Amino acid sequence: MTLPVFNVAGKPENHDCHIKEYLTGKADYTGDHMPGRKLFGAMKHATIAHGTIKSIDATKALNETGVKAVITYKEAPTVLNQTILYWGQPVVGIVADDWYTACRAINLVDVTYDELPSITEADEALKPGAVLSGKREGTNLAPASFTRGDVDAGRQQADIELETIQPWTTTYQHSPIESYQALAWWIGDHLYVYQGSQNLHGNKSAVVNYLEMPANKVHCFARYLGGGHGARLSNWESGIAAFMSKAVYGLPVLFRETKKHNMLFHIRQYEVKSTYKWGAKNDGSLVYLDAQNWVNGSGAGMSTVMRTTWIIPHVKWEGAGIYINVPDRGSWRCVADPPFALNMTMAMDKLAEKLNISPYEIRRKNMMPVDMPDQDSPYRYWGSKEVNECFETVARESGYTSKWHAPGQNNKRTDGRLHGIGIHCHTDSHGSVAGTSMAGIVLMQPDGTALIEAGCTKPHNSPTMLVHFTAETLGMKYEDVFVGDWGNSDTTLNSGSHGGSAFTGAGGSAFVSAARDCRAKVFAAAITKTPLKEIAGITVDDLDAKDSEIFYKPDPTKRITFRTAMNGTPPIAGYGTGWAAAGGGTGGGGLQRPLFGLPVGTAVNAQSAAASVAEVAVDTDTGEVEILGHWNATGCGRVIFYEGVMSQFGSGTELQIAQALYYGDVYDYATGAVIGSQFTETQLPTTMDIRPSRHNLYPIEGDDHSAPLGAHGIGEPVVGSYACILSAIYNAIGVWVDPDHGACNPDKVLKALGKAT
Amino acid sequence: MNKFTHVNATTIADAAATLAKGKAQVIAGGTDLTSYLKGMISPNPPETVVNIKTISGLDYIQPDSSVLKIGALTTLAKIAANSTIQSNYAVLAQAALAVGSPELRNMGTIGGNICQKPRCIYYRNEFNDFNCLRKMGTQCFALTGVNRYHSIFGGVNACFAVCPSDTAIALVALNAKIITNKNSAGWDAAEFFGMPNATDARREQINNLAADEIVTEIQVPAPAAGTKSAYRKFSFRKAIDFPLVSAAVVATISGGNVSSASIVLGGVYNSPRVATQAQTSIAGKAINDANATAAGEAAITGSSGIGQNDYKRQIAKVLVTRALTDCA
Repeated sequence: MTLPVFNVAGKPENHDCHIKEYLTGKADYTGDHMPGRKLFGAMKHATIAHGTIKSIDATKALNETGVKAVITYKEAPTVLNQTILYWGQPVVGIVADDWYTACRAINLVDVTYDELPSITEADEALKPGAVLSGKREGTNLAPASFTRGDVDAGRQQADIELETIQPWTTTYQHSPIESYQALAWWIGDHLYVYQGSQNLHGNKSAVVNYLEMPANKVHCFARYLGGGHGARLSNWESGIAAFMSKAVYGLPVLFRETKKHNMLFHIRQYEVKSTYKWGAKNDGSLVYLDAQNWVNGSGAGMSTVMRTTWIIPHVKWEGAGIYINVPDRGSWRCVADPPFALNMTMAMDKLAEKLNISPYEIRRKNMMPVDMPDQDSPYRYWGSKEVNECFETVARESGYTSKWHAPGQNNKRTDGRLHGIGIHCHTDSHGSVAGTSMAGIVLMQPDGTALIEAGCTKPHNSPTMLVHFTAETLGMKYEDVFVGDWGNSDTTLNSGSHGGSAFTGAGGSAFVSAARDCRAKVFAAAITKTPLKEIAGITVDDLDAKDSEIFYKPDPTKRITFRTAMNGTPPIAGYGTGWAAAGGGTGGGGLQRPLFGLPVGTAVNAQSAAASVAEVAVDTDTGEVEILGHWNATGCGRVIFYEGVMSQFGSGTELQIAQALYYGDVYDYATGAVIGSQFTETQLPTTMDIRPSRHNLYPIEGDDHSAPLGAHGIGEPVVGSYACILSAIYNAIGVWVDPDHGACNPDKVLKALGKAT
Repeated sequence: MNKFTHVNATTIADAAATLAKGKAQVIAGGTDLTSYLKGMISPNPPETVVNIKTISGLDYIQPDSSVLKIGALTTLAKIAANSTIQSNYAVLAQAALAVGSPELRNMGTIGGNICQKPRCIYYRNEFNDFNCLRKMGTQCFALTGVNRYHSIFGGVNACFAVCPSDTAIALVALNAKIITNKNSAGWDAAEFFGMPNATDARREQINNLAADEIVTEIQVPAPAAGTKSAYRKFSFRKAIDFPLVSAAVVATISGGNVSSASIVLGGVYNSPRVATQAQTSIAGKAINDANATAAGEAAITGSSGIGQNDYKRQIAKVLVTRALTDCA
């Protein structure tokens, strides 16, 4: 594929190196503000899994030197609740002169409860007569279903059938460096809130609702962020800090979670258990899939992994979200794909084995071609679909087909360990997904440089990505476009929910739109200046720009700089705004350029895709797994901000190796408590475990016709590596390891081998 | 963080006098005690923290022909890097190198490593949400809860926490003496470790030190001719972690056979677990695959899983086998 040539976007050298701000301590995090002037807030959490608060006695705490106030569900009814639905639920906030005093006061508050029966294990919820968690009216389950074709008819067509049970995947959170926190203060009846939110303007909306205030009196700021992972879409901390500040007459209060409390109840990835009944033709073609999926802690989403990667004529997809007395799960570094990807990979590998073909062959046989529309209504095409190229890339680069062997056979290495290799691919559920419309502002300066005003925070230099979009669209040099204000809800428009899912597609589209608006105005000013004004009949359509110069297209020697164009021009001439509708694309979404004979404006899918191969060595005496090599290719559409892409790759790699081999939540099922709160307990892998040099990462470029510069979000690029690592372990030892709600640690490998019980 | 008064001691006697007043604990490298205080783990935290790093003369490594002397404030990094220890007491150098991470080894001391608190996931739960036996509670939560990291050789005082110290295992295997201000002849390392009675105020300790007793020196007897030693550690991660299982082997080989062997397991019991049956198994035999494997099997005699920790038995077998093989 020949891709249009960019002048600015996608060039790795165009990078502001904001890492300096992190390394030199200049990056300002929430906790850095109001030094010496703020009080501190901590939270007491429930020590029952289900019940009602009967009484709260804070006398001892309030008598402690330095403690200023407590807040309960009575003072803060929109953020604290009298009903307890899980161990660790926040119950009482404490404000004190310093954070340690606030923390010490936690155990000085006496809370009594009317305790109710609780249910803390998901499998129990599936049994008749199960205890009700109280999270949903009259049930613990939230069923969902989806049908394509006729599964019964599919059964008649199948030559081979297989039923597989995929056990519970892992649930985890990896405790970001910056714990959840928010700083709030009041001036009169105006509220000011700092929170490292991934969604600045969404955070403002939430605060408005928590405090039931008019929006013009709420001012939110989101500067730097120490770990997003999708979980920093949470706004609850801002509400707590606001109520805490209110309790101390508007003084600034920094509410901050301890490491333990950070792990105790905040959003984490949910776990999935599945049963797949498959049917296939002898040639490997899939005929039907009859699946049941149980999702612990969230809704039973219709997995994109299943729907948009494989050709399956007949599908019945049933399941339910399970709501029990444990912390809720949700959007934590990719909502659904890792667990569903794992279960699909395991099931598909098993079917391939029964068909006596390799995992590569069954995927190659059944993968949707790039020019095939969705198999479900409304049967949309993709703006670009890179899953096929991703798959072939990792297979080729890893040498998969020559290294693969029958599971557990002829694979003993010279060091005595067993060799295994696994492969996975899927179309991601991320890309240009955007729940709400996004907008941007571009401001041309009198000296001919440009500013962008970005309504987002600044992890991974996200505004830098917006500069790429803006500079490319304006026709300016990268170094002539700057980030102006950002992270300020008063001075910016909503630039989008920050993350790999939507930000590139939607936020980027908004700034392309804004830059086009700005450029048209500057061009209008330019044709009033020498030498362009001497050209008879010239219009803005005759102009183009490159390297910060505006030129007459029929005669490029006639040109002026942006600075000249702006000289003496009213400021409004350099003010551009733009927006991107929900769903991506500029000003209304859909195709920006014709594709497959479809006209501009046609609604299409905009999604990422990924493929992975992992090669492992397994010590069958200890159950230890070493990753010998890892190859991941991810579809990006056009790569706009190269460093940002590679950053997302790197962190995704670490995440998936961790999810596969190292960490998981540690629950005490008797209480429903998350008891693993320290890195030694949650098993966050170290650099010695990750071994970055063994990972080979390939951004696969496409040209997404639904996006103005061809870029879509890359989402969580390496989620499939979780699946292929487990597949590789199977290929090594010839038996599947049961993740049993966690990572495949050596003890679980030993269990699979029959060497431990 | 718990509130406490910080006192810089200038002499051991000075420090011991402060400890004797009660509700006081020693701090050296601080790698363990700081997180203990910060997490508000205990309902009985120290009100005074006595810094002994201000006492001079406790940071040394003195090898001679009969005994190796190590000052209590010697860092684990120095021990791991010492060429004499690496060559003559390899098991100790390897154990010291296995602790935590470079940062922790640069700060952590040998004295602190053998005086750290248990690492049980319930005991360590911050804000003391699980008031276990170690903290005046009435139950060991691990017995019916998460016991993946716990003892496979039963409980002590009904507590199933394990000894988390890497160097403790090596010191027991080396038959070291732990010298204190109250015991100049020194504790036998094997007697030093263990959980004081459940009603004892010292029940949070992993050793039997008196409340006002301070480790001042470690003495390790020089090995007999033909002695080799090795330390093997198993954890889920390659750094930071405490041992889930570890094995220390000190074997003297004469005429191609093992004339004496000291084999000690870590991470599997309340204190370092001397594998007497493994020692017997390998005694008088050559170290080869069959004999080492048999010793590994013998090492777990009397062990049993209590739910989630059966895997430790397999790992213990393998580590003993491999550590013995390292000594061949």
